[in-house]
Amino acid sequence: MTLIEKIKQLRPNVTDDDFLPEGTIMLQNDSDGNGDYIKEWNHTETQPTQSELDGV
Amino acid sequence: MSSIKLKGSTSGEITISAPAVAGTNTLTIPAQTGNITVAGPAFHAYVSSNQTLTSGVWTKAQMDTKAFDTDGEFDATTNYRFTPTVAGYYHFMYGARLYATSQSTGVVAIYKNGGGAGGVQSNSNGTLPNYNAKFVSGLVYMNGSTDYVEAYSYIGGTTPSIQAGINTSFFQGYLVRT
Repeated sequence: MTLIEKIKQLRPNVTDDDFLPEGTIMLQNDSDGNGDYIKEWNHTETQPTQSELDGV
Repeated sequence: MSSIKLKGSTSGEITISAPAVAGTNTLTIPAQTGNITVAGPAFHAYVSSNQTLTSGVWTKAQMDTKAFDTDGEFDATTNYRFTPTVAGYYHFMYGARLYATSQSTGVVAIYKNGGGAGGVQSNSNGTLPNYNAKFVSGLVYMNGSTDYVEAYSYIGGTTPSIQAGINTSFFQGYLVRT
C-alpha cells in the first residue's frame, strides 16, 4: 500500500487533489533508501502519526 | 612575449602576458570593484537507467552518471547533488522526460538546500498523456560552502518514471559570475 493510500484510508476527507503540486499535502522521496514521507501538511485534517501509518 | 608580473604582499604572483600573435588588442577592466572569474565550475549529470517514481510523490532524480564535472563537485553516488566551492550566481537547468500511462500532471523543480525556497520550479503543470519532456532553469545564488541544489520531479499518473539518457533526463549548471 502506498503512502497516499494509507493517508486516504486514515483520513477519508483527504482526496487525490490534495496531493497535487498545488494541493495541501506534499509527499517526498529523497532517493536515499528511506522511502516516501510527508514533507508538508497543510490540510484541515490532522496529520497522521508515524504510528498510525505503520498500523495500516 | 611581454608580460607583467604582480607579486602578492606575502606570497604568490600573477603574470599577465600578451598573446604571441600579430595585432593590437585592448583589455579594458570595468570601473568597478569585484573579482574576475576565469573559469568557474560546470557540470552535466544524468539519469542512466529509468527511475521509477511513486505517483503523487516529489522524488529526487537519481543523477548517477556524469558527462562532465570540471571541479568534482557533483555527487553522483549518494546524494545526487551539486555543492559548489566557489560562491556566486549559477545557472542551472533540469530537463526530464517524464512518463506515465495515464493522463496526469508532471512538474520538475530544482531544490536549493532541500526545499523549493531559493530554487526554481517549472511554471506549467503540463499533462502527461504518455511521455512528456519538462524543463526548468534559473539563476540561483550559491554561497560556495554549504549551499547545494538537487533535481526533483512530480508525476501524478500511474506507472510513473523518469526516462534515462544523457540528453533525456539531465541536470546542468555553471557559474555565471561571482
